[in-house]
Amino acid sequence: MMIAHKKENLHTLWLHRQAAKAEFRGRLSRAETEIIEKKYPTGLYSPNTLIRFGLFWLAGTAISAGISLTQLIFPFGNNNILDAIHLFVWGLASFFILEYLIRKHAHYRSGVDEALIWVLVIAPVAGLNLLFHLSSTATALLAGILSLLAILRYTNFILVGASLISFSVAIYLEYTKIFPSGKSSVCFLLLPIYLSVILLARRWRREFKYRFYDPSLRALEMAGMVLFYICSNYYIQGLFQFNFVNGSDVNNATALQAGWLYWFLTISSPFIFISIGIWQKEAIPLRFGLIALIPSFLTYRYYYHVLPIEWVMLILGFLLIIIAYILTTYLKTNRKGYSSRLIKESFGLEQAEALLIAGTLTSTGNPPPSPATGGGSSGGGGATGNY
Amino acid sequence: MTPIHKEFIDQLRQEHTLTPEAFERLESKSRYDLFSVFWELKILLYGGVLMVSTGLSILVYKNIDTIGHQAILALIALLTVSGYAYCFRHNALFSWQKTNSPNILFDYVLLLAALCLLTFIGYLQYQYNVFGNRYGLATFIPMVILFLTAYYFDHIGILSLAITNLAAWAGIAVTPKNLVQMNDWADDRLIYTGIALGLFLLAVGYLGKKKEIKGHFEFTYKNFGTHTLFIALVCGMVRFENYDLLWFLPIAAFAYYTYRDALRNRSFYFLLVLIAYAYGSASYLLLKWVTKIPGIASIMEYLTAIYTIISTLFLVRFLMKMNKKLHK
Repeated sequence: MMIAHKKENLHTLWLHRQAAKAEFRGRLSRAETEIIEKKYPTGLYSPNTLIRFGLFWLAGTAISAGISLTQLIFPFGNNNILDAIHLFVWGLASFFILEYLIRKHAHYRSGVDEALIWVLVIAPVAGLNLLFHLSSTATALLAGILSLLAILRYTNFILVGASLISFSVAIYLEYTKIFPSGKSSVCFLLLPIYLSVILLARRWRREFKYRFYDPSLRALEMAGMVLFYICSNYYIQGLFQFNFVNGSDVNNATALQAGWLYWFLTISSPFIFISIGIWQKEAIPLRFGLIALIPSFLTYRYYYHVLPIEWVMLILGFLLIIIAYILTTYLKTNRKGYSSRLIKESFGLEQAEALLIAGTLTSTGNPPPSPATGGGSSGGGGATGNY
Repeated sequence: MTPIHKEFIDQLRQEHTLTPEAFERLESKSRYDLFSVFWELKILLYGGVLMVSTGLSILVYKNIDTIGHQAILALIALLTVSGYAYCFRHNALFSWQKTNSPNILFDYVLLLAALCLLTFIGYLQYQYNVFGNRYGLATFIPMVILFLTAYYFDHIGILSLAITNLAAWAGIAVTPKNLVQMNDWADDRLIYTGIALGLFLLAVGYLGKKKEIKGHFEFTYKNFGTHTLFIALVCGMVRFENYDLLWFLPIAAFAYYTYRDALRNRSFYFLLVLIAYAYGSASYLLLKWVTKIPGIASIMEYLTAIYTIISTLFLVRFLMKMNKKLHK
């Protein structure tokens, strides 16, 4: 499928990414990366991440207001056909505006283009749904296909997750329709699919011909991992097999079909991801594995109360600190390329970390209750009026 | 690890972009490529400190009357003292300028020690009522300790904790999660306190940078100060609706100040923040006035939609221009 952006622009952007990667790995210096960036300007309009976020928000608001205004001007009542046409017109308008912005102003991940891409996908799906009263499977499939087409044409990763989820929903609905008791076995179909998606994304990222899709493939790998984990988690399986199917309590763990497998996957998959990340020196599986440890721990804790929660937290907390201490000391000097040193300072990340600390670790960060409503003091016995 | 593509190196070589020495580095075996786990270790440490401090708090709360108070106090004190001792031992000499922490562990050991100290003081107050009914003192003392710790060891995370404690002492919750949710902004006293606190934080940040007293703390002060001041002013405008224009003037003035400051410091973040507050309050005021025009109610919905489209498109253009300007 033809890519909307000029290929020369995307190619130079790829050169920048390669240079940044080489710099991150210590093969190029900052000065050398800058030489490359200067020699090959991308010509794309890709603003700073914060500006991009602001533009996305503003463009989204403008489009929503536009849709409301046209609805006010042309009140369709409950006429589904006119409502559908109204949505198609907005979908088409978004398409033409997007194409214009890309061709004339080279918008690429600018926030504005991303807001338009969302409308481009959502409007036709909603319109067709109104016209033909599509089944849930057809809606999910249509959303998946349109998202995929948008990813291919605009090489933008924002719809990758939505596309994969839509296809998963379509598979889930169709499978359970064909096999009415299939809600407990659908994961045996989905898990290999997610595994293939992860492996395929990793493989394609290595190929030169897919270089323009590198960010989308990274997002696909990440989405695949998240869905793989969700599908293999014991607690979520419990939800699928009991709550969703029989309406019974998720705590009824003993009757979970292939429960041993889900336990194995819940406990092992974070460690598998961490191992892959360390072995292949890849940040995505490593970070995902570290984060996935939390839901795995919570799942285990939900079913088995070995120790009171405070002791579990204390033991695990100290364990994490000790592991981090050992690793920090061990990796002070580079060991086969692994290092605990910070390669590139990030002011934004430092500030985000400080805000996270202030937001989650404070024990007296909120105002103390007013003495007047604090229940009074027994010492005064009411004599002072301090109840 | 995804490879550095051969095509990338070939193109650079054909176009003589880099020195032969750089190409040698680019083509060397990838086995020993640098892979930093700095942020991953930070995730581990953050998780560890979060769990220990939360676990400790629950332990204290649950066992307050069941096991010896001294045992709990001793445990917390031990953690505090050993944490601070480690940091004093490994810290570089004190400086009013930015000092780098010796390693990742240092920052989080200090954080754990500071949190244990807070728990320790909280416990003393709960069990022994050491500050009596002077509740302000129970917040003031931890706040002072946190500020001293943040300045002595140059720790932005603890500075953020200190600022949230300062705000708590003044009666306001300023953590990102609670700034809007937890405060009763319809309370006049809170609005004035918010304004005073916001101005104070901005002034401290400004003076710190000007006098070179931990000048790099400016962003943290400015961040808390800007949000607190904007929210307090906007709430004042809504609360005192008869004087809304009078309240809008300081919002506009502060937005202009923030704009100039964002330009000077090339800050995309503050530019976005000021747009959100200034646009929100200006729109509120404008639409409120327009609603008062007789006979306009029937077309108000149209006007609101048209206004939103025009104003947001204008802001889109403005942001795009600013992006160019700040990148220069």
